[in-house]
Order: sequence, then C-alpha cells, then structure tokens
Amino acid sequence: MTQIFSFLSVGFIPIMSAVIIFHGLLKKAPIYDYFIEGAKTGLKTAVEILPFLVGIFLAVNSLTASGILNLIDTLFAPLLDSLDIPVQLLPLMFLRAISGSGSLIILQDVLENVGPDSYAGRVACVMSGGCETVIYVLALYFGVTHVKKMRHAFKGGLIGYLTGILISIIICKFM
Amino acid sequence: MMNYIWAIILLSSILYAFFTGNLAALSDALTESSASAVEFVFGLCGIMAMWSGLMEIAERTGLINSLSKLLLPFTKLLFPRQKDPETLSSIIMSFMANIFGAGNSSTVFALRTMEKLDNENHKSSVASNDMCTFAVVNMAFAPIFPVMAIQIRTDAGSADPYSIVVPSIITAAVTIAVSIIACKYFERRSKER
Repeated sequence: MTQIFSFLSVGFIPIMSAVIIFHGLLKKAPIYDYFIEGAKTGLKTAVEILPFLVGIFLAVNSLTASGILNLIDTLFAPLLDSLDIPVQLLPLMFLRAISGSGSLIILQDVLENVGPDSYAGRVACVMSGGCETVIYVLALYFGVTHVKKMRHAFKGGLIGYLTGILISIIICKFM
Repeated sequence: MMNYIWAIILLSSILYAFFTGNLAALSDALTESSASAVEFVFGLCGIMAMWSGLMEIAERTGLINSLSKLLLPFTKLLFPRQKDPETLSSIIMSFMANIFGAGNSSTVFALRTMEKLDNENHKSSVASNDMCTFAVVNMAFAPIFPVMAIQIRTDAGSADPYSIVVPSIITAAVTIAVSIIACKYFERRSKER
C-alpha cells in the first residue's frame, strides 16, 4: 500500500505528462504549439497572484516575528490542559492555519521534544498532515478571481480545519 | 472579510512587537517577506507554465473531455449544476494532484479552476456556490498521504514512521466529509435568505 502510494507520488508528474503527449500524438495535433500557448497563460496567472502573495507573506511573517504566537500559546495552555490535550501541540494548531512551511519546522521541534512515537508526537504528525493552511489558500485562490465577498468559503474552511485538529486528537487515542 | 483579517493580523503583531521590544525583528520580517513572496512566485512560474502548457494540449486534443466524462458521477455530487467539461476536469486534476502530494502542481490546478469558475460567475464580486465548495473541499483534500510528516518522523528516529498513515487517511476522510456537508448546509441557508 505505502509502496504504491510513494510510486504514485513520485510518478504523478511524469506519468501525466506521458499520457497527455502520447494522446496528443495519436490525434496528430500540433502539441508543441499548444504547449507554448498554454505556458503563456500560465505565466500570466503566476504574475497575477504576486500582489496577493506579498500581502499574505507580510501577515504571516509579522505574526511569527513579533512573537505574538507565544502570547497566544500562554493564553490557551490552561484550556488545553483541562481538556487533557498535550500543550506542545498548541503552536502547531495555530501556525498550521497560516503557514505550511512554518508548521513543518514546528513539527520537527515538537517531535524532538516529545519523541515521534509518543501520543503527542503522533497527533502532531497527523495534525500537520491533515490540515491545510486556510488563510493562505483562500487569499491565493480568490486572488485570481474578481471576488470580493467570499461568502461561506472562510467559515467552511475553518470548520474543515477544526475538524482535522479534533479528529487527529481523538483518533490517536485509539490507534 | 480579508480586509479585517489582514488588518487584525498586521496591527496586533506590530503592537505586540512594540510592547515586547521585538520591533527590530518585525521590521526585518516585513521587508524580507515582500522579497520572499517574489522568490516564491519565481519558483512557481516554471511549474505553472509547464502544467498550463500540458493541460492546453490535453484540452485541445479532447483528453480532458473523456476524463471528466469518466468521473462525472463523482463530480455531479459535489457540483450538481456544473456542466463545462474543462472546469470539471480541472477540478478533478486539483483533487488528484492533492491526493498524490504533487505540491505546487496542485496549486496550479486549483488556480486554473478558480479562474474558470470566475468566468462562469461572470467575474462577479460575490463568490459562487461552486467556488466556495471547490475551495473548501480542495483544502480538505490536501494531504491524504502525509509524505512530509513520514520523512520528519524518520529523521526524528521513530520506531514506526508509517504508524500515522492510517490515522491520517481517516482524519482526511472525516475532514472531507464534514467540509462537504458544511458547504452544502451554508448553500441551502443562503438560498432561503
């Protein structure tokens, strides 16, 4: 099972490319011209998202650099303690919502402190895999559209995020 | 929405840094983050051009059409009113790239999908139901197979780095289900209003 998955992870890009090119050849299409045309629109999109990325990077980096995440941790620690949830998971819970790469560094930290096979260590791993960076994704996705009102996208994303955290805490008690 | 989130994050960080004497670090972070955003896009440019090029071939030669027909029963559940084969296949490709952890590739497909949905929405300033559902569900799909976490566990000397695979898959499945239900619930409620 794991071998199949790691093969598919490694092979996804090459296999998809091969299928597309082979199919194009069979249809006798001018595939190279099509490729160049598509690549042009792709580059345009990349430039369009740049302003949104600058905005999001500003917000995320100021949160981590100002040390305000530490304050949040101290505020919420008693609550977690009373719910019997390892306090070491706190920074991960908050940072995961705003920064993917930042949370991987924190995951390394947590595993070093509590050990990768402890309860807290396993929850940390499932949590960092099972939740997406809500704010970053929404800013990026809606950045390429003309949308100003996201309607329930934010609420829905947050609900999914909290579900991921909750389930990872519960499931590691049993597995 | 974004206005408030952005303002609150930035202002509270600046205030907190001011009172804790972290202003120098924050100042560095602010200038550096603008530069790192540009670097990130540079990295994305190449892969974006590559996938867009390949997908252009797949679209024009009809491959995408057949693929989306094949997966129609599944996408019909989530996007009952979506008819356009290109949009549907773009959605499917985003999900698949996410499942196989193809990193930046999934971002590219997601952005393509959002652009297509935006056109169907007549570039309106209010998000459509399909946009919300896609964004929320795609987020939940993100990391079904936790490749990075397994790597970090191995580095940390875990006795059984793969022990988190099954819990991760279950967590992802529940998250996807809850996300779908939440979206459909919000949709129905906004229709009644």
